[in-house]
Amino acid sequence: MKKLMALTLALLMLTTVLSGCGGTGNNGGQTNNGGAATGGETAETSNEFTFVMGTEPTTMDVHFCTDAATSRILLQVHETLFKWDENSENVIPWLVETSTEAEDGLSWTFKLKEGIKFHDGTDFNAEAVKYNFERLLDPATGSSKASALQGVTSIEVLSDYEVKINLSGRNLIFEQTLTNYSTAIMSPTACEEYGLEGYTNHPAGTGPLKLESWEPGVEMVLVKNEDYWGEEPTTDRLTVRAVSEDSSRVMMAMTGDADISWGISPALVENLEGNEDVTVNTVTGYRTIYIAINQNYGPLADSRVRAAINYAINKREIVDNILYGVGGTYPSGYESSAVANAATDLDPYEQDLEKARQLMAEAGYPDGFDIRLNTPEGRYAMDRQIAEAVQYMLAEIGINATIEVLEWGTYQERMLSKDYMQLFLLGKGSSTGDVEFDFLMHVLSTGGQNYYGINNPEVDEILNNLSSAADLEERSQMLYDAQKLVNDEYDFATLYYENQIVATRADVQGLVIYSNETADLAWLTRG
Amino acid sequence: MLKYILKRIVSVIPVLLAVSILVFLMVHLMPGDPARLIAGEMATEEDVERVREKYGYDQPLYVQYFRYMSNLLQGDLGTSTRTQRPVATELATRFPNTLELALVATALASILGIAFGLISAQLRYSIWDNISMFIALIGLSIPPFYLGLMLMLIFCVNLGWLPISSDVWYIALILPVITVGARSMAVIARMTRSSMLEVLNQDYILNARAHGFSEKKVVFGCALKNSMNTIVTSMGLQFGTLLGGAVVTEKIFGWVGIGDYLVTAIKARDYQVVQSTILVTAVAFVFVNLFIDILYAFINPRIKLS
Amino acid sequence: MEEKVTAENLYEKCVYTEEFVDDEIVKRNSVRRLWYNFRKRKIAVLGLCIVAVFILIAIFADQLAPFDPYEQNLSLANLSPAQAAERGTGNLLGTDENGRDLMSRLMYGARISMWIGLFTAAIGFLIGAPLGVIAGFFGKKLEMVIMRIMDVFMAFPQILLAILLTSIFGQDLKNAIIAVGICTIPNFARTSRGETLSIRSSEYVEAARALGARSGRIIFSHVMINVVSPLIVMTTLNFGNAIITTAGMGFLGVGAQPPTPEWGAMLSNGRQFLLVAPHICTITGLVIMVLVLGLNLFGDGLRDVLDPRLKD
Repeated sequence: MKKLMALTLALLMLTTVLSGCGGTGNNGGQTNNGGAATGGETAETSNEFTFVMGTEPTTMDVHFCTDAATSRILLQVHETLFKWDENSENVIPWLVETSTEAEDGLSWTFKLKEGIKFHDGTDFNAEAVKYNFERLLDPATGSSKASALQGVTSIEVLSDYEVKINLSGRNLIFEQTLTNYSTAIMSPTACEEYGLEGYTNHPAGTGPLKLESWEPGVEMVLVKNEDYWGEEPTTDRLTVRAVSEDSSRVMMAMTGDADISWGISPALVENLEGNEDVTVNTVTGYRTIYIAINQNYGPLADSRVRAAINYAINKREIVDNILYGVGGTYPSGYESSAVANAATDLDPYEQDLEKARQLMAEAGYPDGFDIRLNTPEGRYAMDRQIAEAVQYMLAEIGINATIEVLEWGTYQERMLSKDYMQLFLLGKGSSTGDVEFDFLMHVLSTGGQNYYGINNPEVDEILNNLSSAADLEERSQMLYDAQKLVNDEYDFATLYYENQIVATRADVQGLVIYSNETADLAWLTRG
Repeated sequence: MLKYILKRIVSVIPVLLAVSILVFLMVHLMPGDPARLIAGEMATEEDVERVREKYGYDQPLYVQYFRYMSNLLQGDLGTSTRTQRPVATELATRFPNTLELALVATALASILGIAFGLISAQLRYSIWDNISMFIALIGLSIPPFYLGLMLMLIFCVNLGWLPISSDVWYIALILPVITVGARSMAVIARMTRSSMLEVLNQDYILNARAHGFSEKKVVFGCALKNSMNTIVTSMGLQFGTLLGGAVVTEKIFGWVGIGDYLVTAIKARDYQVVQSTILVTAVAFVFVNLFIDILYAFINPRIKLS
Repeated sequence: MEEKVTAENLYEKCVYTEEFVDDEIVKRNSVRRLWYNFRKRKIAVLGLCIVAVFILIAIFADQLAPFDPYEQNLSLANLSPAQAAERGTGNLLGTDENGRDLMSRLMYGARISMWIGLFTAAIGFLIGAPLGVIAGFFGKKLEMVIMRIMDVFMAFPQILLAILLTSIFGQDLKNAIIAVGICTIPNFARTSRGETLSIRSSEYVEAARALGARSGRIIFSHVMINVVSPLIVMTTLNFGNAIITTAGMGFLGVGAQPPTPEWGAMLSNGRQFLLVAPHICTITGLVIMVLVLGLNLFGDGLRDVLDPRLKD
């Protein structure tokens, strides 16, 4: 008898699976509200929130954090001297009271806010700033983020709450540099006590939330810092989980398993839009996604060919159909409009196949040519799919591209070899939030990430003279000119600016999302 | 007995040594610079160089290998460059999860598999035989990633019967266990059926029947007992395979096990994690096999350990 | 399995042992007898039919596919069969995430899967089987070395070994196939070694040896021939396995390069759209399942006919 029961059970399982297969083929993904009610009720009683994102935080040591996801959590516990305002437009002093630039521009003096304590009780003061910056710069630390303080020669403590930072050259946007997560301040006592290896498990910052427990691979729990110096945090408890499956994160938002789901695939936004329990937030980020063009490869050295490529790609269709109109913002220049000083009125080169074919003919390739198109997979939203679309579009003007997907490790190596890559999909951002950073890396002829063989003396000259600009306005104009030059040379085929898509439960208020992919998670409320 | 076990353990050492060298070579043959990956997307050349020195990636390969091995012998499995945490700590969280999934899945698969196998061997050529074997065949033919996705789509999304992630361990286990267990169940069911049929045709079974033993006694007392060797082997093999981590299932259900850990580590060129984790799974696999051999001896004392 | 002594298999026993029987007659008769035995197994015939249909689709994909499998139409992306029918686009099974015809892609994908199955089996067969036979036949040191190497490979979790190898060789379909093939070598080696061991001590090999035949001749004319039939069965069952493993790798993003219509990659790409366009995953997965089911049914039947002793 038992055998028969087991058998029937298994049969039932099978039929459910099979009938499910047939049924779902036609009626799309249905939302379910069954689980939502229970999920919401239990959490409603207190200000406890669950936050999910694609990858888990890797470290709580500021100087070893290298990815945006980790920085997002890190910055709940630690704070930087300066911070962006809620719209990511202006830099505001945060741990700093006032800042002054020296006449010659070779040093900055910061007067720090008083009465701030780290989570371990240590006072936040000038010594702490000095200690942190020196730790970051010290080769013995081995931080890969030392370049965040590029140009800093020494740090002087003037008084308990006054610190002077000496620079090797003038830096008009130094304050902005200090919004970078790598310059957040940790408690010197904790750093000393736990050392380079141990601090990550005993972080002590000045932030509104502090670490309660962390089980790597499972979850991290942050709780309210009762002694926070600023506006009182409202989040009592924040549980951070990593869920790598895109659809799982969406489903968790729908069922209430997550209060905030960071990184929603554009394809799935449609699913959430009809759902009254979920709000979808979209913020244009720092990242620009583009087809990189390596000018070291024969035909691509000709700017007419690069122009043809630009005219062949239908960016509108990529944004509307692949990114569903929400995953990216249609380009208006060369770099994401969220980045400071980005030009927003440059020609994005709307698709024009006639013109593209003509340009190809003029350049001597009426029949096109063969080329390789590289793309990473899963690094940027819909990256592979976009590459497939671009391949198909290029075929229209005779450019016969073969797609090659590479793992990111291999990808980097191949980009560095300068000759391997021909056309490749890439994203770039700016860690300072200013176009300059990006130019120095990607466009300057000696730039560390100039994988494209760009060598434009005019642009180089502008970049070298930036620090001698009279004021921010002139500097801004110079950067604009540089961007125009690059755009006119068709050095990149800019596709779109990546949007950060975050789903929250409809009753969760107070989430602030910044363009640099960080967020405020300490002032969440339910209501 | 003890001598046999010791001998087996000793004979495993060269295999493990070879595995360690092979893994080391493979890991270092992969294109991609770990230092650059650690340094992150916006790192400068100096940043990368600094990382390279810190982890000793600028040393010759054999130096790196001997350093790794000598640490290993002192019980140090290395540190993950991606998370900055000791590999041993991470394995301590993840291995139990993989073990849990493997154990529950193998146990359930064995119970169902043996039941199906017995039904179909006993009621040979009946409708029940056909149904059982058809289920087993489906289990064998359905790709695990497809099964996992469909289960999730049906039970979590469309029906909403199960949460996608749950703090209650047995609820969290349901779908992953079905996903990884389906195949094992199928293999065990087929194995049980064929070895039962073989045994049931033996002379001594005919003999037992002729002597008027009850059917129950013939089937469970003689036949099943004698088929147990084959069945246990396949159970052990299934378990051993699952110990290596059910990569795909772990990925779909966000199961914090070794498989997903390893794949992430391979992609991040996290050398020490890949080396140590593969070594640990290899050790586990080898010991499971050893355990099965010893189990044989208990089930069927006529088999000599040699 | 059930070894009833009938006139027929009595004859079988004779022909296999008596060398003086004319080879042609044996061959013709044995093929006919095999087919006769196979035909009796209805389910196995069903399996054969399924496999045959897939083979035909694979061969004639060019003629059968209603659309170019690479032709994109982004504005028609992710259409389910019902939506496609409503819009009258003619995509019977709907479209994929880039607006390509799913059915045409599945048909071309069948061709790729056939190659995957064939090549991995060929690698396992051509390298694994000889290694196993040599190990089993010569024994001693050689056997130890070969089998230890196999142990080393067996100690790796299979799919991870395949992923590692693909990472080294570079990620594309060809390398994924080679990697999966390498992973099957130990299985083939073990089985053929086991078979060889039992044949080596059999009477007719002893007899051949007594008559002064050289090792090479014995291996080819006696051992190999007898090892081959269980291996053929294994190959059939492995075929399905290889398709699943390769698709699994495609699923993890270590396999075919886009826009190749490889089933695993298609499924993996469709996974992103599971909630908006579940038909991509559902249909593709179902197709994989049906083919593998067919292969297994066929393999089971073949096993019963060719080699009643062999179990899973």
